Amino acid sequence: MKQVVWLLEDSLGPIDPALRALPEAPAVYIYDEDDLRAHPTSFKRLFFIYESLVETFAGRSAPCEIRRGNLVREMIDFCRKYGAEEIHVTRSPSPAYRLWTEQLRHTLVVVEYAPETLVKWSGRPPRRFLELWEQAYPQLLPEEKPGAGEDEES
Amino acid sequence: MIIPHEPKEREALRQHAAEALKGLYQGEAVASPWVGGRQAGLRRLEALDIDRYNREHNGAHQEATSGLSPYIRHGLITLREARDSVVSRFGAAASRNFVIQLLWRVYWYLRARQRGVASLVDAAAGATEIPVPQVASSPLCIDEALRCLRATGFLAYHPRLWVASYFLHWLGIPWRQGYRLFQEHLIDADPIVNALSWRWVLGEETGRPYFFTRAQVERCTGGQLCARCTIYRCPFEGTPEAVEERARQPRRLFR
Repeated sequence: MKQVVWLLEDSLGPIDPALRALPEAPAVYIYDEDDLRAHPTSFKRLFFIYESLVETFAGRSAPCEIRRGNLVREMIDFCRKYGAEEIHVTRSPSPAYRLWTEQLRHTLVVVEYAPETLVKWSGRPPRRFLELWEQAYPQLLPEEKPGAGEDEES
Repeated sequence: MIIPHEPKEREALRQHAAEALKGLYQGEAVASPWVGGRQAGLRRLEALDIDRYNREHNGAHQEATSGLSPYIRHGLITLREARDSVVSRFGAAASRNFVIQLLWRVYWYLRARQRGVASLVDAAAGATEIPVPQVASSPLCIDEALRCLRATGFLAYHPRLWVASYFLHWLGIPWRQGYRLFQEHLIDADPIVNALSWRWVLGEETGRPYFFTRAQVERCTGGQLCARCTIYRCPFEGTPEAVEERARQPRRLFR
């Protein structure tokens, strides 16, 4: 079964797990017009994405495309163009992603890759930052002691 | 519709994208000082001076921070790479502040897995009817942050909190509107981090709303903004408790 790679805003670099897994597969990024019209976005972010894609795609020998339009329709058209039935994508936590993949799965197979994580965490989500910090610091700063303040934020 | 992507020098790329993406963005087609791509992210990471970062990362100017968030948010460099690079070069103790900031991102993503929290993010991200707030003249610390946000697409950590605190607690703007303003302009805008950070300032995450004081602004800006601010009476004067008390009064803006 032929495959393509679908890039999303969360993972635009050549280190994207799906891109790395399939170096020979055509890859695409799509600016979704419906989403962008519904949510005002400055040129700065769209251009940051574009600049990033230009660099990522320049380093790839397989065909790569940037498109704009209805995401699902453009994605299906891209797959048809390359005779692909399988979309490989790094899972995104964004709410729009769930809707897009649901629709794409009506006609195509979507294979998801896990994004890289910094800290292993299982069970219920932490209630406070300190709870995460206490579990994470031995993995992240092995010589350090806990005691992170809660007054800081990313 | 296919958009060509041949590499060109930056200004030519900007012109090309301005035309190709017409109708999809708001405002002028101005590029951010933050250059897109993994290479630019790696250059920033390699140039990070941890002593300066530890001294200045609470500062309000853009270069006080690592400036890595747009690259991390867009998967151009990973949290793991950033952590490994800094810890291997500077050791665990010197890297502590930096790693804590990386971990906040993990925290918001884990929080978003919780039932009620995920639906809040979904609702904020999906809402289309909520207008982006238009704010008239404000104290200079707020005006300057908003100017910087619109001009560059980036804000250091504290000015983000000041804007959010001012909007929520002083102007009474609903958090989803503030969320939309940041979502529109920040190049590192991320629905989860953005929504939950606004909720954090609101006090929904900790049970304690975030207020800031004039002393904090002076510390983060070297006193420069306050010295030039023309507001009649600074609403942020005094202790955090005094500021909170003032914000809760009916005529809370003393201009």
